[in-house]
Amino acid sequence: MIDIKENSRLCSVCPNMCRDFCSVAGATRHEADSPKHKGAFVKEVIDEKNSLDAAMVDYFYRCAMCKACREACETDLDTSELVLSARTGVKGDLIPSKLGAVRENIVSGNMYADELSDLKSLLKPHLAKGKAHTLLYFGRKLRCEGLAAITGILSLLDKLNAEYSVMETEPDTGQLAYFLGFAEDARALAETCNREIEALHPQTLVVFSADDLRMIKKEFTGPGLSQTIPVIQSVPEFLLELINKMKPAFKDTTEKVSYHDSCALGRELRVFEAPRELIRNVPGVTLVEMAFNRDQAPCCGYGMGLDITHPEIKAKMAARLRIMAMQTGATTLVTGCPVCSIVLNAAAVTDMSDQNSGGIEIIDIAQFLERRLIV
Amino acid sequence: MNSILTDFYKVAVENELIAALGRDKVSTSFIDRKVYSSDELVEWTCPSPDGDCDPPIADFVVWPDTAQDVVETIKIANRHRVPVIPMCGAAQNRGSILPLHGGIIIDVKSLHRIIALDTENHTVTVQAGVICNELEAFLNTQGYTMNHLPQSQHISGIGGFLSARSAGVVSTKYGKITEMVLGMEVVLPNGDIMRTKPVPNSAAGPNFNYLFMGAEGTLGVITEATFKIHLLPEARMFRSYLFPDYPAAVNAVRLIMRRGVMPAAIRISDELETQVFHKHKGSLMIAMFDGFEELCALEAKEAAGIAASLNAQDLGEKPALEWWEKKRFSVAFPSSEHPAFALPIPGFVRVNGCIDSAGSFDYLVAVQRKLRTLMGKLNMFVVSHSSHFYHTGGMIYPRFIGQLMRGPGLPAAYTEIWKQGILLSHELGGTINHHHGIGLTLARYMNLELGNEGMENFRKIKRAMDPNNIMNPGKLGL
Repeated sequence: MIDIKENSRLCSVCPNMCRDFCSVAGATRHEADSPKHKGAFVKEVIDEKNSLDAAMVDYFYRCAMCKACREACETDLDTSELVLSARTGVKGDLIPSKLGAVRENIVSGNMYADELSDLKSLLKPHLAKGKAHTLLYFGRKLRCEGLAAITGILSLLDKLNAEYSVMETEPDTGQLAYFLGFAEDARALAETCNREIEALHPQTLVVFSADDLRMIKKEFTGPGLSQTIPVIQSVPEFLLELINKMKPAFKDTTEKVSYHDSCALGRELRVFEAPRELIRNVPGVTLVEMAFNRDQAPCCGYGMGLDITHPEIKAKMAARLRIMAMQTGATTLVTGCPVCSIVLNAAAVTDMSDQNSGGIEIIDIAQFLERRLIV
Repeated sequence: MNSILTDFYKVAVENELIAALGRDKVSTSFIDRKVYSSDELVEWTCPSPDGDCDPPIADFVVWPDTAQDVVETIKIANRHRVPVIPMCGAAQNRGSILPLHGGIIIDVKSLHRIIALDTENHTVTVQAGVICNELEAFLNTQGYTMNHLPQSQHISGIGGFLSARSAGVVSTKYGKITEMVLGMEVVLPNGDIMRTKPVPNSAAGPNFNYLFMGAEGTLGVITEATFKIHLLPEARMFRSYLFPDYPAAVNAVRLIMRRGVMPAAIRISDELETQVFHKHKGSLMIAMFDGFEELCALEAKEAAGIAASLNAQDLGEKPALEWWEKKRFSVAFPSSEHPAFALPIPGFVRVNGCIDSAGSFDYLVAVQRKLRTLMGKLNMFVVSHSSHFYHTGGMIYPRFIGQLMRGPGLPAAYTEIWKQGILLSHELGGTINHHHGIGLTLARYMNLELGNEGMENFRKIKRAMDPNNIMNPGKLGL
């Protein structure tokens, strides 16, 4: 447990060196979005110099929970923990009405639109029956918005003759509820999720959405899956093992490719090398790093619910990241988490019209490999 | 301190700003106004009797997209005699951007486009709100660098650099920002846009870049600038030497500069800093040479010869390399144990400051010795280093830290520390500041720097350019 009072005091006297590492402040250019100031306002609320009114509550939701600020802080202060504590403290009428509706949808399982109808037929041959040795978990957002990503990974796995199972319906890991400050709801969801996955007795669990993986491996500290499932992996880790074993051939290319480190996969779960190794597996590819990468990589805009609470900020974050990718001269930007690809591609239409840069293809690592695989 | 605007008038100005710029570029929210109304002049550098500052607060925050947005803002401000405070990064700690009478903060950071990279002619043109780290990261991906690398580079931006005559850690070879800029675009206090030519040099009259650099937003808003750029160095070579004392280390730098050797960076710690932070007895010099391999080797060899002739101990590359990799962009991050940030003794307030100045080689030695004695009498702990050198001298960076008793005597005691330190620097022939700027903290000493005649002419220029005194009023002693 962090000492919220002391940490917020230290933030309040800090020279603000975290500001331009912050995914939100870097994109909005608004001084108030700096983590330092959020910490300072937490102190003022604790000291009763400011009250937790509607404006202040909204302010505490202008955070992507990406923890880039922690990496910038030499004292290792984690301002997102201060923000999360403020969010968790918001009760009753102070919960913004929009957020209240989101909470109801999360709890009832209706957070996203209905699952894609094409998905059912795609998944049907692979449904887990009683037991599943290798279980793929896509996550709610992907099952509703990520048909291309799911098609890509299943096609790749089939070409590599991999054995795997999927769930007919997936329980929510509780990640969104957790980061939006609904701690009790998150715990209930996580416990249900764990029970349903454990019932299939998987030896390996492959989690597509990096934020779900972060919730399973890092944030939910109750009776977790980590204790009962021998291997819980991200997609890049799983694919790297598979490709090292199968040694498939890839088409020769002269592409310049860049890679985006998702906050959860990179900063939180330390999966930096596996996706880069996979990209380098394709002969002729030149991997060029973005100016801000690895621990300094900004969030794509998904921001653990920021895309719902502040879509205008999400758009700015995604646009900023696309520009950063284009500055490398790459023609393809690969993401380790498919959710990042979805968010970044959505930004392309609306937010890049005023920029001078040319186009860039943004795809997740599985699709990138699948398209270059020689069958 | 209250705004000069009545509530009724605020609404009128807000409506005009929104009509001119659009709703999303104007804020009157308490959170924005409060955050934008302070720089790093926080309570431990500006204590009031109870140890807690109640700072002034702006009426509006504006985020311009274009220079024209700045023009519109300034026209509205002139029409209503509303103060305008340009801000870019707020990494300073002199109170330069405090809205003493309320008014409009223009956050230049929203002007953040990299406009042109010209690798044929070695220039980059950027809007003034680009943060140094962003620009340097972009240039690095293209194989270039601006070589302006201040300790605050993660949070400070182009407009702030120019307005405060900033210096980076490799200034000994590449100069301050003032030597890097070629041309700039400035929105003047009357709303006109003025551009200076981005040429290598000129003899056509005075160089107007120097009118705006160091003016801290009192003479206009810098909105764009063109700078020299350099190829990323092929090699960097690091060397460290331990001299018997600070005067010997300064003498070594003098001889190095006289020899024509040009290290990218030299940093000398005085005896106390060497003892406390580096655990050595004497005065530590760390040096970095950059360029192509043979140049680095030759310069390092020449510097080594000079160091040896002055009985310095060769400590190899480790201390210099560690500084470059771990400390050059590090600031005093708060921790519960840090002497500047730990909770003070009950009834006391922690105070902290830096009386950085520049002068001849003789000056550096004299001020380092006398300031140490002076601060000791004032019960302040002071450590110094010198890290920006010129052919004729250099900069000294004495940081004082201590605790003062709360109560009515606190502001006067704190002011006295600054006063005695600044007067000493001046009397010994140094500047009153090297690269932190003047703002509020040093405003009262500006006549020491410019002289009475110089200050009077500065005031005349200000009155001529800004008859309504809207641009950052109350700063620089104007």
